[in-house]
Amino acid sequence: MPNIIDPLICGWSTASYLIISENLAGNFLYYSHLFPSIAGLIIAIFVLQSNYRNKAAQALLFTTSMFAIWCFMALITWASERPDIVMFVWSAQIYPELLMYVGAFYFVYAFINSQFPSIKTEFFVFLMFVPLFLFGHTNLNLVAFDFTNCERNALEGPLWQYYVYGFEFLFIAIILGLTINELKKNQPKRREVAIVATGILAFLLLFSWQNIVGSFFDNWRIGQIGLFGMPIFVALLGYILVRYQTFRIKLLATEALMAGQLLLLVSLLFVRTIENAQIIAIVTILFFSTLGVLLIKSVRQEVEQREQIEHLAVTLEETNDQLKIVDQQKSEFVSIASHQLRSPLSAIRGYAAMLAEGSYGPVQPRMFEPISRIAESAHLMAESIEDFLNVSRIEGRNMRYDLTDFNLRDRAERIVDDLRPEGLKKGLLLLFRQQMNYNGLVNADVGKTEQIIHNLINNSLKYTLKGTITVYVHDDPKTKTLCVDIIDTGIGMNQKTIDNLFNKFSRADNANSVNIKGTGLGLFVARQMARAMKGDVTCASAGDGKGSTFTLKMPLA
Amino acid sequence: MILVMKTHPETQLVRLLLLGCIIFSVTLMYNRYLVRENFAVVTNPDGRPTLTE
Repeated sequence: MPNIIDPLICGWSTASYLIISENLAGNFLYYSHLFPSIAGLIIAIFVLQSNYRNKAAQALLFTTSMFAIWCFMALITWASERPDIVMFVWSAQIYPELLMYVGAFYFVYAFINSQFPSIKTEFFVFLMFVPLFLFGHTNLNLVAFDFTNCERNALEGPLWQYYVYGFEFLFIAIILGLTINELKKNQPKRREVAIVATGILAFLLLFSWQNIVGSFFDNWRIGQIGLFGMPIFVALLGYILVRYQTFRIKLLATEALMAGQLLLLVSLLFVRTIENAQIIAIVTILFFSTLGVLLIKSVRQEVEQREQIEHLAVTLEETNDQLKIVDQQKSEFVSIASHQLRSPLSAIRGYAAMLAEGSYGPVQPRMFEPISRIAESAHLMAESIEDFLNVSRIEGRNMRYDLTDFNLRDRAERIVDDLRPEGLKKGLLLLFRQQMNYNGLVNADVGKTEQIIHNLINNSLKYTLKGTITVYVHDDPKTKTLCVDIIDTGIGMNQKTIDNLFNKFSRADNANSVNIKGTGLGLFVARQMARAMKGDVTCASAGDGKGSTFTLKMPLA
Repeated sequence: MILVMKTHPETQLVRLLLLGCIIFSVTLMYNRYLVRENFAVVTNPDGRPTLTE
């Protein structure tokens, strides 16, 4: 036979709709249960609505749903006058309570890793629930219904008093461990993770506190304050939504705005009793709903596009890093290969010179031609290799510059003197002119600067078939720079060619008609070296066939 | 649910198992407390509930 005492003896009132009754003695319980659960549900629905596939948002809605179910069940135990209902609801409450902790763990895990835990973890969670399946409906869960002093409490058994709290603190510890582990990694999302974890831990600890106070001290009323952990969590979640734009804030804000406005408009239907006003309200609602849907769609599209761009940017950055590595490896390869080529080439040049000099016996006149070709080709090859090596040094940032003060005007004049015979061989006149205000001192690497001028004059010699090459040294007191202009009457070039001239392996379109030899690296190397010494190399030409002017600018010392 | 089962069968199987067990367990509770009303009651030593003032 059922062992139940008539509730009327204690004068309890009957609960309607399960939760509305005078037994609650005051509205505080409604506030503490309904407000946090509704706040939690609303924010979770909005968050999930903005991104259905987001695992963290899914887990968040699950957690807040379990919390809402728990709150509803708790209200039933407070309101109901029937011991059987109280006993059933109280015992079944064990599930939403523990699932809430599991959901919170899933939420934090998915927030950090963007995915749910592995199958092993799922199975572990299942195993943690097995004692509840086995003993949930026995005296180990609830011992008895307490009528002492007409209280409507259930006396809790070891399952509630020990296992449940052990379960809860285990999950709190797991969430704490997950968070600390993530914070140690120093990821860009660490602040968001810290705030989310603080919110959820505050919520869970306060929740456990209210239950412990209730279970061990039989004071369930003070314990209710613990439920306000949910609004704290919601507030922190709201903060990270706005501050860090997590979970597509733009979309969320648009949806919240639309929902609020729609609610306001619908409420007008009930407030206004005049028929015309109601019709206007209905038309406004329809118009507003259509516009709202369009607005939300467009914002969603924009947000998705932004996310795609962000994803592309990350991929691009990764690819760029990989390219840099490949480029570095390529430069190293060129450097090693060039070094390896240089040694045998020196031998070829050396022996060709010795053969020509007759070190290995008299040379027949018809042999001079092939020997000089060998020497010339080896010389060209050595120059090309030197260019490759310079490029690889510049790109590997291994080029060293020994900066000293020296007279660039004098050096330029000497180079012109050295190269004049070579010009005469080709029938070209090499002139030197100057217009100086200062003494011509610059601070740069002597060898590299000479190499640049040498390269530029040699270039002009290659691409000038007749006429003159003038080296004009002048300084500008305003900009305090010294310029070495190499002005030729050569093949010239158009603007398009000039724009690409200083790129690697770039040669003028009409270059092959005059000089088929050349790697297209000389000007690149010259400009890079000049720039490394705070100078520059520029080029100007009036057009094809109208000669060109190359200028080396260096700051005066 | 069938669609989800196809994409992540193992995980969903564990979750389904959990859900099934919870429903079964709650049914047992329902049977114990609401159908059979089989639970003990703690009252005052004199066996009668005390009326609150």
